[in-house]
Amino acid sequence: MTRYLIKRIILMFFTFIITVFLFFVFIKLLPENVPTPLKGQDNTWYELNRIKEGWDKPIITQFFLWIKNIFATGSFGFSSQLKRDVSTVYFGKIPASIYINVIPYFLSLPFAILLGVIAAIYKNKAADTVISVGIMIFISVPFFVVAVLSQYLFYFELGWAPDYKIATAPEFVEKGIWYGLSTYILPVIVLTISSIPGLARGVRAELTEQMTQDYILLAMSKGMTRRKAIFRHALKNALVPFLPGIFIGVIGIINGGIITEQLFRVDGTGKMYLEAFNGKDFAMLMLITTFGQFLGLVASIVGDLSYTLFDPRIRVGGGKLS
Amino acid sequence: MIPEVDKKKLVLVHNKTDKIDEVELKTKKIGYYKDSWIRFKKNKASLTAFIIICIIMLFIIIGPYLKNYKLYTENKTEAARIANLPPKIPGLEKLGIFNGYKTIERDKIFLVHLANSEEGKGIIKTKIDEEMLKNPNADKFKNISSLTVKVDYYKYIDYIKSYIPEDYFGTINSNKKQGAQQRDPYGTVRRSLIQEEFEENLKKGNIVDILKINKTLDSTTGKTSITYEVRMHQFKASLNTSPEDTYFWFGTTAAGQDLFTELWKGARISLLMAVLVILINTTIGLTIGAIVGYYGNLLDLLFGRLVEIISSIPFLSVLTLLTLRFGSPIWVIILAFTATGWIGSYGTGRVQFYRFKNREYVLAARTLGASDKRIMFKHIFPNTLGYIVTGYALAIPAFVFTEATYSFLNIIQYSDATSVGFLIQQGQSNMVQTPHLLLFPAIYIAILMISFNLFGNGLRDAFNPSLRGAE
Repeated sequence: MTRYLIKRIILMFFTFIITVFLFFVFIKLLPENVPTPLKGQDNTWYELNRIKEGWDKPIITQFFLWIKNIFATGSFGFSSQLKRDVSTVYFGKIPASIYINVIPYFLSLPFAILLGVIAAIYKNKAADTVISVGIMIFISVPFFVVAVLSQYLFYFELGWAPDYKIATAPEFVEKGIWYGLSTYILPVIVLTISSIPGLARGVRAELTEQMTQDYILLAMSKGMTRRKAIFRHALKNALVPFLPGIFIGVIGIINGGIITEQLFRVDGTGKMYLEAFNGKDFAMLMLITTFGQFLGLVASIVGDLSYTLFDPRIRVGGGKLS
Repeated sequence: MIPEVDKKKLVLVHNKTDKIDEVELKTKKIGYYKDSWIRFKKNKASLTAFIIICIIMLFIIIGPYLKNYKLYTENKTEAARIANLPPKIPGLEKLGIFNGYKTIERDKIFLVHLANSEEGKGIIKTKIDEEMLKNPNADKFKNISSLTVKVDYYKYIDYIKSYIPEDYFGTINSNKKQGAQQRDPYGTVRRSLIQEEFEENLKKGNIVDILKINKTLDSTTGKTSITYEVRMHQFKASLNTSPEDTYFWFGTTAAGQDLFTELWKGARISLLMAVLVILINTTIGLTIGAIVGYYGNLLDLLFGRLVEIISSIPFLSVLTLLTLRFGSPIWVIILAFTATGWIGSYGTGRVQFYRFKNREYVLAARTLGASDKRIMFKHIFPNTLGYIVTGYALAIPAFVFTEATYSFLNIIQYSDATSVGFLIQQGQSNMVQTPHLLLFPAIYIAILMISFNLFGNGLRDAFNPSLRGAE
C-alpha cells in the first residue's frame, strides 16, 4: 500500500513536471508574450522582474527561474497587466469560488442518492419514470442553458428571485445580510439541481445491478424483507463505485466553475480565468493551468486510494489490469 | 421443434465424395443488425428521439435555404434597422402565438400621435383611453408620461423607421430649450439619396415624401448634382414586402440577421465538426490502440506512460493555449478536440484487442497461417464494431455540449461562422427585451441533446444488450 502510494506520487510528480514544462514553453512561445517597458513611465517593475524572472534569457532558464521563485518567494510570476504578483490575486479569489460551490455540492449528494435509490426500488413504476425523465433532461441540457433559462424565468418573468446575480460585498453592507444571502438562493438551487442527475443515474443503475445478485436472494430467502435487504446490503455495495468521485468532487470545489461565475457574477477563480484569457494575462494563465493540473493529479490519486479504503476487494498495485 | 430426420441418413461418412445434407432453418434468418434493429424498435423513447434527430437533420440540410433573406449580407446598416423583430409564423399567427406582437413601454405623446395618425392605424393592439387620444395633455393625464401597450411590432418598426422616430417629440422639445443644440427630429428616418437611387425608389413606390432637395454645384466639372432627402417605406425599400406579409419565423437578431437561418447554420457547423472530430479521434485512437493492444509488451508500457501524461492535461488548457496561439478558425477547434480526444478510442481499441488476441478463434486463425494484419482486420475488428458504433452516437452530443459551452463563454469565437452557443450568449445579454433570441437557440440545443442522448442509449442497448445492466 505505502509502496504503491510512493510509486504513484513519484509518477505523478514526473507527469506534473513534464506537462507544466510543456505549458510553460507553449505560453512563452506566444508572440504577444513579451513584456515591454512603457515609454516615459516608471519602469522599475520591468527592470526588477526582468532580472528576477529572466525575461531576456532562454525559455529553459526562465522555467527554472520560475520554479526557483515559487519556492524561494512564493511568487508564481509577475503579471504585466495587473502590475503585481499573480499568486496573491489568484489565491485570494479561491474563497469566493468555494462559497458558491460548497453548499450545492453537499446538498446534491443526499438528494442524488435518495433519488437514485427511489428510482431503483420502484423500478419501471411511475416514480422511476418521473425521476428517470428528469435525470435525462438535466443530464442532456447544458448547464449554461439551465442557468440562463432559470435566470430568465425566476427573475425576469416571475420575479421570485431578488436579483439574477449574487450580491457584491458593498451590496451586502448596503442592503443587509439577508438580502445578500437571498441572492445566493437561485444559483445554489440551480447548481444543486444540475449536479444531481449524474450521480442519481449511476446510483440507480448500480443498485438495480446489485439487487439481482445472489446475496440479495440469499438474504431474502433467510426471511429479510426486500427493503431491509436493500438498505442493509445492496446499498452499501452500490455506493462503493461512487465514493472516489465524491472525494474528487470535493477537490473540484476549489477550482470553481467558469459558467457559474460568469452568469452569477461571482468574483472567483473562474471569472479570473476568463479575465486572464480575454486580457491575455499570460503569467496568470500559467498559474491557473498549473494549479488546475495539480488539482487534477491529486484528485486522481485520492480517487485511487479511496477505492481501497472502502472496498477491500480491490487491492491497488496488485498486478496489472487486464 | 426438431424436424423428423430419416434414420437411414444418420450414418458415418465413409467416402470423401459422400455429401452431408444440411437442414435449412425453418424460421426466418435474423442477422446481427436486423436483431439490433428489432431491439432498437422496442424502445419507444429512442425511436421517437431517432425521428426527431432525422427532422433536425433535415432542417440542418435545408434550413439555411428556406428563407431567402439576403439583406444582412448585402447591406448591414439596412438590416440593423429591422433588428430584434419578434417571431412571426404564418398560420400560427391566427392562433395568437408567434404573431409578431410585442408589449412595449413608450412615451405617451408619441404613442397617442401614432394611434391618431393615418399611417399608424392598427399598430397598437391595446385599447387606449378615448379621452387621452383626444387630448393627451389634459390635467387628468398629467402624471402619466409613458404607456405600456401591445403593438404589432413589425408594423411598429416600419412606422418608426419610415415616418417619425420614437424620439421625435422629445427632440423637438429639447430643441425649444434655450441654447440647446439643434438636432434633426427626423433623425434616422431622413435618408439622402442621389439622383439614380431616388428615381429607382420612386418607380418602386418606396418614397413617402421628399423633405428637402439639395443642389450642389461641382466647381471642377461644372455639373449640378442633386441629392434628395426623403422618407422611405422601410420594409418595402429593404425587403420589398409590406410588414403584414413579412415573416421572420424565429425573429431577427440584434444585428438584423434572420434567427432561423442563423440557428440552422450554427447547428450545421457544430454537427459537421462533431462528425469530423469523432472520425479523426476514432481513426487515430483505434489504430494506435489496436497496435498497442495486439503487440503489447514494451510498446504497451511506453504508450501507457504517454497516454497517462496526455490524458492528465485538462481539455480547457489545450483549448485555451491553442486559441491564444492560432485564434479560432475551425481547424484549430478540431485540433483542440482531437489533441486529447483520441485517448478515449485508444482505450477502447487497446482493451478490445488485448482481450480478444488470446481467444481460441485468433489462435485458430494463426494456426491456419493468417497474417497479423488479417487477424486484426478480419477477425478482431468486427468484434469491436458494436462498441465503436454506440460510442459514435454518444460522442456527438458530448461534442455539441462542449462546443456550445465554450462558444457561449466566448473562448471559441469563430471569425467566419456562427454557433449556437454564441447565439445563446447574445440572447442572454439582452434577455429582457428580446427573449426570443435566447429561447429559440436554448430550446433547440435542449431538444438536440435530449434526443441524441436517448438515441445513443437506445443504440447502445440494441447493439450491446450485455451493457444494458439489470432489467
